[in-house]
Amino acid sequence: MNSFLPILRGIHGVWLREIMRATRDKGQLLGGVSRPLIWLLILGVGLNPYFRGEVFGEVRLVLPYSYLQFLFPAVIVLNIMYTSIQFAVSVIWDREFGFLREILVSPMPRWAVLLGKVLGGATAATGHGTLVLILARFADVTLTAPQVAQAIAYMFALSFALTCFGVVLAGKVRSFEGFGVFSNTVILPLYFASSSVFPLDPSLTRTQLVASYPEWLIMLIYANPITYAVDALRGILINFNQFPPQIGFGLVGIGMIGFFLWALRSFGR
Amino acid sequence: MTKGWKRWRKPVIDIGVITLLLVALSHLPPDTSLSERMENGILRLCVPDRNSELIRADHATRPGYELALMQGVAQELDLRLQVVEIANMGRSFNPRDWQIGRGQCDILGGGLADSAANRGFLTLLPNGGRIGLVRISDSAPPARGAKVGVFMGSAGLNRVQLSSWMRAEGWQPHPLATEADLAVWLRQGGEAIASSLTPLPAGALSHDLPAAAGESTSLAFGLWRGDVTLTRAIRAALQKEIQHKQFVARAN
Repeated sequence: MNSFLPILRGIHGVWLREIMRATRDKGQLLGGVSRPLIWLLILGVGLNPYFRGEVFGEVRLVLPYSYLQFLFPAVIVLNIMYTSIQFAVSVIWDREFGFLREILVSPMPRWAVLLGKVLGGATAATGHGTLVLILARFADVTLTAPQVAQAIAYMFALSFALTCFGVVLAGKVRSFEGFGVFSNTVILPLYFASSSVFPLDPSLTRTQLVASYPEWLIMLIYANPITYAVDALRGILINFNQFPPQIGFGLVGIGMIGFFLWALRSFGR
Repeated sequence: MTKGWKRWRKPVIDIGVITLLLVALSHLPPDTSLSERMENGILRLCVPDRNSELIRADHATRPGYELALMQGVAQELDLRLQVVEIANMGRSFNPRDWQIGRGQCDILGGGLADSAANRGFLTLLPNGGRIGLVRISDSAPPARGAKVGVFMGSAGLNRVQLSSWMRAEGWQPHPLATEADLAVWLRQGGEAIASSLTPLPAGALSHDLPAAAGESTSLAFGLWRGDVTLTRAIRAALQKEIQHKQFVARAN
């Protein structure tokens, strides 16, 4: 127990450093606000009329929620994805300026340093996801206290997995500029190919779906883990799932452990 | 304490400003559905063109439960209620046949069940009423193999569940399209299953059906999906009306 306390203190120290850096980074804060504003206030309101039933019984896509409500959980996941994966820039930064070398030669084990950093990144990403919850009224999403608590816990788990994924990516890229381009080529395709901005009608069979969307797109959506992550959050916030929610929770759980172990392998090399 | 505050003051102020900005933006109207109604001064309620205890033919003095409720809501919103009678609503259970669009109606009423089928198309606001299925007959349940008339009306009740139950009972369903068809069927001595809101011919008795045939469900007003501001305003006014119960005296 006595030997574990200094490690905990060390994890807290690394976590606090990441939080201080995240809260002082105006660019990151601005990004965390501008994304939901662009996606919900502009895209959501702009497309909302095209997804509503203009003639009762004639609407092609039967979904029990409005487009704004459908988009709301996806925007939270987008904010989390950006903050988590972009967090890896701090790893490159620390490596570039020698801070990582210094901290890695400290008595703290490598896993504890990584855990502190990942917890810091996950906390910042969860904060950015929580900011979007403030816009729930605008999207006409009614939230109860248990729903908010469940959503924040899930957002934290998702942020943890994605931050570890970001650290893995940081291990593959050596420059800031390269990482910026690389992260966008990862985040945006994952997001757009996850049924986040266009719904798959859960009442349709796979054969019927192929009539609406090309087969390759449906295959991409089904193969994309973010599809299930967004879907699980939809279940929590608007009580609507296109897939069994256990898949999303399970994948996030596996992602937390799997990506952490993978990140540990590449961290500090 | 002071040192700690100094360290966190700036981030706390930044996050506070962002939170205030988002709270302010969350109060922006996401659509024009309410402002359009306010501009026109009219709220259009689409109902079936038949007399029922929910919407009576005498709109002014004995409006019925749902119409009285909606009159109160319109008054609360300072709008004039216009009742639009849609003949097709009472003739077919299939909403596709009703051919109702935004151009004609702001709200749908007159016996809409709060069911998953209806929720797929509309935003439903439960209004305190109930609807279910009854067997109309003056005798014991018919024997296996008997033909039983079925008049579902426009409510959106679970036809699949009823159909399975009837099959299990060994009854053959005979679909009845209109109330007139139902009346003729009963006059000829037939047995029928209909929604609990269907006006019964003189002398006819109704019997509740078991839950397996279809559980009773709430009645609701239906609003177009995506009409967020109008839905909010109607929901608030509806809650107020239901709470004060003033409409009950007006209804009958």
